[in-house]
Amino acid sequence: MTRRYRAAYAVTVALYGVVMIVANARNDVLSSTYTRDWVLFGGANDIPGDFGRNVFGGSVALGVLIIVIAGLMWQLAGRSAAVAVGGLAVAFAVVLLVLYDADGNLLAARPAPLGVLAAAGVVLISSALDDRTDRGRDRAAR
Amino acid sequence: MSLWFDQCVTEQDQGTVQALTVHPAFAVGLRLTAGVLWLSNVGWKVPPDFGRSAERCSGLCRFVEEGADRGVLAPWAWLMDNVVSPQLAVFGYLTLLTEFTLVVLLLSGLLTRAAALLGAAQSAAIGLSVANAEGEWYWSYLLMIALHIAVFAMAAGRFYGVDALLRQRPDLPRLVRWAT
Repeated sequence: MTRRYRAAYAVTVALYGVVMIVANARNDVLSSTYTRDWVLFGGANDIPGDFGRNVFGGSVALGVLIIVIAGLMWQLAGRSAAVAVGGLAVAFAVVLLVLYDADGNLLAARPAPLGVLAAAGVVLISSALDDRTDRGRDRAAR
Repeated sequence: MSLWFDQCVTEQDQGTVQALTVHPAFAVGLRLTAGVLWLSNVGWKVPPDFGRSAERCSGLCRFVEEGADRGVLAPWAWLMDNVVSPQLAVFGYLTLLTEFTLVVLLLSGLLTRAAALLGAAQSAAIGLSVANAEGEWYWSYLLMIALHIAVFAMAAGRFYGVDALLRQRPDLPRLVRWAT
């Protein structure tokens, strides 16, 4: 995975996490119930209100976790450790999806941010397949 | 099909056809648009009752009932009434899982062509259920199908997507290669 690929993925995922933190800032950091008092997306309109609440619904802690994953994408993509970290991200997203219901769940996670978390995990796992990068060439040489 | 189209283009325009290319950013943009489409809609399929309670029917439940009452095709309405509605929880989880999978595949660019076909099928299923419902615009569903066909045609996971990494592998099974 080239430096440009890693940067594009990491920055996009990190921006998503930042917007999520801001949007859910009025809820508890580690809330297990869904945000009711929104920043940015509080309007009673389809867009940006309903769209934003659907796309960025979660908690500050989940936003931080997504930023951490973005940092790990930048640091680990293309290394063998990326497989384990990516696998953990996908597994955690699936567990939270299983726990999803109307009353809330761990980290107040709605399916949308879990989809982003799982997609980031998939990218991390697959980055270990890439032989075009310096990291990949080093691995192939060994 | 290709030969038929070639014969429909005059000789002087053959060069233009061969020069037709798509900028990778355009393909990535369409793929991410399709991903965000599902991302913004997966959340309101809420388990375990998917909107059905003793007092009311909202959310997914309401759309299933709309499909049973005003489905586009009679056999589809029968299916919604007699198969889907009585097993709403099963189909609700199936819908949640399908749309979550679409989010993951389209955003990461993994098996994008297969995901595009799944997305087109899911769009068609939703359209057949609710296109005639009050306040719905049936063109929405035709455009959703068109979006997924465009993602399929461009093999949009090969640009800034996991498919680009997968396709480097010479030992990739034929079916998986096709799905990318």
